[in-house]
Amino acid sequence: MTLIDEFYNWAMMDGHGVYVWSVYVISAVTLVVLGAWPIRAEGRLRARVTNRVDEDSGA
Amino acid sequence: MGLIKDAFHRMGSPRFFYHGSSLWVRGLYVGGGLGLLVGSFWGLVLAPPDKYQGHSFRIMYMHVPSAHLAEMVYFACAVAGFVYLVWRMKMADVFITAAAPVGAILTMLALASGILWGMPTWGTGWVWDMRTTSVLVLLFLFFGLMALRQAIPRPDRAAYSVSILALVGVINIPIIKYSVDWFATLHQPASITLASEPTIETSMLWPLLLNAIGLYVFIAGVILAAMRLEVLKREHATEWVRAISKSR
Repeated sequence: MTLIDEFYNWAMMDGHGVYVWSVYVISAVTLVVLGAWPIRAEGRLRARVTNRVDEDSGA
Repeated sequence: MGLIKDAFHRMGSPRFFYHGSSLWVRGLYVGGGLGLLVGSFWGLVLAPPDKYQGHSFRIMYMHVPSAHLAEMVYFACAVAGFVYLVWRMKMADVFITAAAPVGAILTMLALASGILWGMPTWGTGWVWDMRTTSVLVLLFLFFGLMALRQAIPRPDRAAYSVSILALVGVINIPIIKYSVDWFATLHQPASITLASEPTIETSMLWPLLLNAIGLYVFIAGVILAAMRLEVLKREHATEWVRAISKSR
C-alpha cells in the first residue's frame, strides 16, 4: 500500500470522512470569519470617525 | 473585596474597558487558536477510533465544546441582564449586544455538527426530541435578543427589554442540560460530569478538554472584540473616541 493510499484511507475514515471533515471545515471557516468580523468592523468604524474628525477640523 | 468592587466599578466605564481590553483580545485569539489547532489535530489524527461509532465520534471534538459554550454564553447574557436590571450598568448591556450573535453562531455550529453526527450514527440528521428541540429554542432565544434590540428605538428601553428576555430565557439552560435524563431521547447522556468519573477513555478525553478550553478562550476573545466594537459604536461622538481615532 502506497503512502497516498494510506492517506486516502485515513481521510475517508471508513466512510465517515465526509461527515467529520464537513464539521471541521464548517467550524474552521465559521471561527475565522467570527474572529475577523469585530476586528475589521472596528477598523472601518475608526476610519469613519477619523474622516469625520478631519472634516470637522477642515483638513 | 475592595479591589474587586473597585475593578467592577472601573470596568463599568466604557472608556476604561476599551483601553484595558486591547491586549487581551490578541492574547485570547492566539491562545484559543493554538488550543483548537492542537486539540483538533489530536482528535482527528492521534485519538483512536471509537469501538461503536468508528471515526464519526471525532465530530464530538467540535460538537460538544460549541454546544456547551453556546449554553454558557446564554447563561452569561442572563447574568448580564440581571446586572443591568439591578445596577443599570452600561457594560452589561454592551455584553448582551456583543454576545448574542456569537451565541447564535455557536448554537448553529452545535446544531449543524449534531446533524452531521446524527446521519451516520442515528441514521437521521434530526429528531424532534427534547435535547435537539431545546437547543433549537436556544437559537431562537439568541435571535430574540438580537431582534428585540433592533425593534425598540429607545436604547434604554431596548436594554431593559433585552435584559428581561435574557433572564426569562435562562430557564431553557437546565432544560437542555437535563433533557437527556428527564426525557426519552436518542441523544446520549453526558460523558463528563462534576459528580462522577468521566465515562470516556482518557486518550479521547484530552483532545476534548483541549478543544473545549481552546474554544472558550477564543470565543472570550471574540466577545471582547465585539464589545470593543459596540463601545466604539455607542461612544463614537465622544471626545476620547475621536482622540484615539485621530492618534492612529
